[in-house]
Amino acid sequence: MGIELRNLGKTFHSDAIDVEALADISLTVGESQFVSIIGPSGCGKSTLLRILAGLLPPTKGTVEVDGVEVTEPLGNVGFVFQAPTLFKWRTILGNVMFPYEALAGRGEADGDKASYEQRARHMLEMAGIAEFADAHPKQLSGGMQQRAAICRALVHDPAILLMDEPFGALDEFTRERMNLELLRIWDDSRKTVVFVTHHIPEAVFLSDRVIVMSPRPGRVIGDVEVGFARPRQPALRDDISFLEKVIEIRKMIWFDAASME
Amino acid sequence: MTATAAQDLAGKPAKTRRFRSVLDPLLFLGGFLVIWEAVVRVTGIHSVILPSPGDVIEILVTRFPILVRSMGQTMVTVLAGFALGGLLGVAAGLAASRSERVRRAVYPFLVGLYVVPKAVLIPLMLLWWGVDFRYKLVVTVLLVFFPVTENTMRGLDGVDREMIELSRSLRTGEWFVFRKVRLPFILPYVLAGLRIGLTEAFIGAVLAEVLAPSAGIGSRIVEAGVFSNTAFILAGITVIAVTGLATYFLLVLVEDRLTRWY
Repeated sequence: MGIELRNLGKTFHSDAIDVEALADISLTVGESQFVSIIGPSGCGKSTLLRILAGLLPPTKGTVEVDGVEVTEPLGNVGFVFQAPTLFKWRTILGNVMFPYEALAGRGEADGDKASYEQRARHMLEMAGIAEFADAHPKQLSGGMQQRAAICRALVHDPAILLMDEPFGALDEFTRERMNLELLRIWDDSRKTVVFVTHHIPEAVFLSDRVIVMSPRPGRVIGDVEVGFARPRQPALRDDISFLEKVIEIRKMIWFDAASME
Repeated sequence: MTATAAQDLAGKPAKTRRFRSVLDPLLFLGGFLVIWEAVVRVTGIHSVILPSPGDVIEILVTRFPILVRSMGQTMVTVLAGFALGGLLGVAAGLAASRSERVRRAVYPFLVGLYVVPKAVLIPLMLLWWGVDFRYKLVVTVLLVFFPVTENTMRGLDGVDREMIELSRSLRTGEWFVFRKVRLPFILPYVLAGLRIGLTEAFIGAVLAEVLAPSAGIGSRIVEAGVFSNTAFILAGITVIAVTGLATYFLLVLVEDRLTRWY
């Protein structure tokens, strides 16, 4: 599904001051595109993601998903946060089944519980944690927990996958491996993905497009096409054209930061 | 290198750990009794002031039926007050978290009520109802209520914002979020509140019996005091301690089971 942002603005009001988190963001994300949003802390990346999901209303402008304005939670999205945010009291399978319960609760689940469970187990298999289906989150490492969270975000076949620095808490090696695995899983369905990160190589490696944002207030300062062939190989990271993309984005961010001072 | 509390049994097999966790307290108790007996013998202190452990054990054996029956009566108050106070406490905690305004208005009142020693409410209730079951129950309920309310509110404050966002992003209603996210999330908090509440329930029930003698172990202890039967007083205290300990550990066991994966 395609996403269209028009002149989006968000201001948070508090007792003392108004904080302008996002200013005049216009952006189109095409169907099945993998788009990363990158920028330093405070550029409103996470806020943007929540507005996209319909969790926060924008102060100005509109969000449209497939031509329909978003005014309430979308429902057909998958959300992955920086922390795995698994329900500790549920098993891994129970966590992955959560979206089914949410959808079935109002009769919107397509398929019965058994078929969902089959899908959940298939997802866990793809993520390489099938044998932990009946384990509880605290028995898994951080990386494995995050894989389970990704399974949970995909099990209900959402139209859009929203990821908020999902690998930010992992070490560099685990992060690179998770990047590959995410692409492998994503390749199966090719959903529209909006991926927030502050890690430039990660954004370049994963995305079709990288949106570069600047802080205070958050606004778009760059929109970089990343044309590398898919499926992407680990060796891409060492390719000179890959490094050039990374440098191009890094320069955008540094140039912007320098001009602010 | 000095061994800390945590290091002591670390690395030992589970069986050894379990055995030692029973043995060590018993050794301490034995030592305590030996010193007590020695003090009584060496000083020749009168048994009305301090009876020997032997005297107390004798009472525990010979007066066992009355001690157990009285403790049973007390336990009715303890458990009824615990259940009712716990239920009301959770309900109040949930209600207070629904509305910031209600919470703001009521919270100082609750704290005020909590710091007032419940003993001073007893004359008031005796005035209203006379000596019956109700004043004991009210004192116990009031004592249990507060820690449970407090912990329930804290738990609800602590609910992971992203867990709620995740649920809401799937268009779930508030009732769904409550059942599937908030309620299971606060379980350990509520159980910790109940653990404090249980000890308070013992305090409340026995205190009420001591202040307005009627049924229960507290009242029997006051009577024994009137007759200078010190050994009976100490036997009664022992029965309260052992019963309290057993109930407390039972609750901790339940708590550990329910929050195993948290």
